[in-house]
Amino acid sequence: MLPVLLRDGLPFLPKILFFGLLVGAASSSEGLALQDLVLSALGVNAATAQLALLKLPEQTTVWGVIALTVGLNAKLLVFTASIWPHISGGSRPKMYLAGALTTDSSWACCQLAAQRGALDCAYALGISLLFSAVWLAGCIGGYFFSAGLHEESFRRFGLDALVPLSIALFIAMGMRGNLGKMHPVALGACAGLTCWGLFANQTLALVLGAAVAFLTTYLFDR
Amino acid sequence: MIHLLAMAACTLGIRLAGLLIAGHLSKAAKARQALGNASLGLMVVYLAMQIHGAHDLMMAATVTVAMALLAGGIQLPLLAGIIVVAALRNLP
Repeated sequence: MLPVLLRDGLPFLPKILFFGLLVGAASSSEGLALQDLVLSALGVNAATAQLALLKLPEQTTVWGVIALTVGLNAKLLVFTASIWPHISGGSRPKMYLAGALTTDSSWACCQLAAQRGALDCAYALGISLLFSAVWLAGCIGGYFFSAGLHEESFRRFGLDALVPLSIALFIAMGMRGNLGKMHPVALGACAGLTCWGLFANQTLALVLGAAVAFLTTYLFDR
Repeated sequence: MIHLLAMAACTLGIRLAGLLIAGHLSKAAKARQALGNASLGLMVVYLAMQIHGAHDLMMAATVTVAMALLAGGIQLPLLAGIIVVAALRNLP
């Protein structure tokens, strides 16, 4: 299993490591304690939310943090829901652990594996553990060795393109041979993008797009 | 510390809620197809947002998808896409 995970995960690892280094460096410069960074890397395991946590105003309440977290991470609900049909055959502890560690990258990697029929609970758990370990290593590395790390260098090497490109690949694979059944997807995408254009809220647009595609299929498809 | 714990607990709750909701819904066979389409709908919106933010992704996504459809595989098409992005961002 490990060689397969390494082979499939390899394209994602540089991005995860580099982004982890950035988050670690930012945490160090904001004066976060190392144990808090480790807890944040394992417990939150999402770069945008971790960075947002560093910049929180002092007077923010717990309810404010919860609202911020929901706003930033609601897409994870759709991510874990979409891999459920593939991982539900595994034992409950493994399934929930795989779900608890799901990130953008592990979800994209799992979706590509699903296209090949290779996604199951063991795969999802393995790839989530691998990516989380690399994420943690990146965060800790960035905490101690942060000199010269900038988001611009991350962008220059095209590492930020990895998740969008894997998603483009997945969309193309998912639609191949199924174009006639894609009207719920098109409707969901139109609803999501319209919402984004009107309210400029990415999370709301993503969740709405998924919800419309789900409901259209569930209620109207025969 | 309390903020960190609140965020970690909330993020964990969101992730697990996705599994629980999907588990509950998929008792109906139709919901599995609906979940697949929901996932695709989300991805189309996500990709459009990313391309809007970085236009060079359009060319890279085209190269990646074309290479995957013509030659198969996943790693090489992704690598080709990243090389295209890096080239577009670094070449004068």
